[in-house]
Amino acid sequence: MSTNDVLSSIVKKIDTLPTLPTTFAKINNMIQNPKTSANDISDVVSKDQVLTARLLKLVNSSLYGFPGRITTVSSAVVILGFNALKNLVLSSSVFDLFQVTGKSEVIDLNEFWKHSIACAVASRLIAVQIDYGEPEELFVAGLLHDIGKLVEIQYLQASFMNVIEKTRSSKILIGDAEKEILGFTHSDIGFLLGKKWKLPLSLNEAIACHNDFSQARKFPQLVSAVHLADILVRAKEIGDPGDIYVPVVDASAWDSLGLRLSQIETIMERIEEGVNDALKFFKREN
Amino acid sequence: MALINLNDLKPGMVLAAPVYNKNGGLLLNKGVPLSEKHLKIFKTWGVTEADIEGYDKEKLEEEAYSFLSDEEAQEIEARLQNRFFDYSSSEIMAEIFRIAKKQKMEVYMKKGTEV
Repeated sequence: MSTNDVLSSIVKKIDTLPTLPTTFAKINNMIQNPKTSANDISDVVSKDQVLTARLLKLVNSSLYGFPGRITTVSSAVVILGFNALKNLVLSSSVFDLFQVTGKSEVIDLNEFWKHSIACAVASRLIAVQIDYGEPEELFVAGLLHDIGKLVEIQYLQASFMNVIEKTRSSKILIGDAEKEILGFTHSDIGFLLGKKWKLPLSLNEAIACHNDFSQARKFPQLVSAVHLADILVRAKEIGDPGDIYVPVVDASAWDSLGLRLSQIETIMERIEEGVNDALKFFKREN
Repeated sequence: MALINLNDLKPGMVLAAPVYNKNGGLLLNKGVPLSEKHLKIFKTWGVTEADIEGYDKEKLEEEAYSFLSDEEAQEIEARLQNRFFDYSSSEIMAEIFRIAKKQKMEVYMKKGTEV
């Protein structure tokens, strides 16, 4: 089987992967329609209890300055705005998706998950430092960047085990081991999954290019932030991305962010706290 | 004089250059010795560094790790070096390495004092 055949057979299997809840697709479509009102969106959100709880938790957090005062979904939607809501729905869905994936012999899924959360948090911290318009968009991008590895863990267990072995024996990054053993990388798979899920193009570019910045076309800042976040989280050894190495920051990615060197410490020292907050926020209370 | 990260600033250090906030407003002029209050103000305004008279990063680092024995410090550093593909040839990677090392050492020292 050629690489392309393998890839397309995986895409077919992706049909059986947990899908994103229909809520995301619905809300995403509605937002693109200028006639959609906050009430229309509220009707959809209200049908999802977990999402409703998280939405109210978020708008009543100190972040928005109305502690404990917002009690209806429609006012929450108005306060948050459509785009922030979309990002909340997406991260909420992805969070739950990771919870149901079960066990793996190859990698500790909790640790893998923790790496993704830490990247989400670090991406958002970078967003704040560079005054990025939508920090929550970067949070979701960080959360999703390694989604392709989740597919490998589920459907290519044997090869994935070889990939992990290879990173150790040859001291190479997981992406390079994937190229040697599989002929494609988790970024390729993640990109296909993202297309299937109809993710926004910006997020899919972060998934596809976080390890290869030169491929980033339309959203260089977003991709750079996730690229740097991944490296900072690896340097801090939070969670397990599959290999233990810290690759080099792409010079043009760094330039596109316009960060000062001293901001690296500001970002790195806030990651743990953000991870703990995120875990608390998304915890399901049932 | 040297650019020192916010975390490493200590009361008594003397500014070699004025400190501004993000919008270009002057927070503190050069020649002023830092106080605890100044450091708090810097943090509130999102200042991440300041130019300090007569200090350099290496000197600060040596002071910070004086609690650890040479062997302990070397072990932490060697383990980290082994994981970094490059920790010295660009100033970005050197800084990421320096901060990662610093934070590891801090965790290690905290653990040490708890025992």
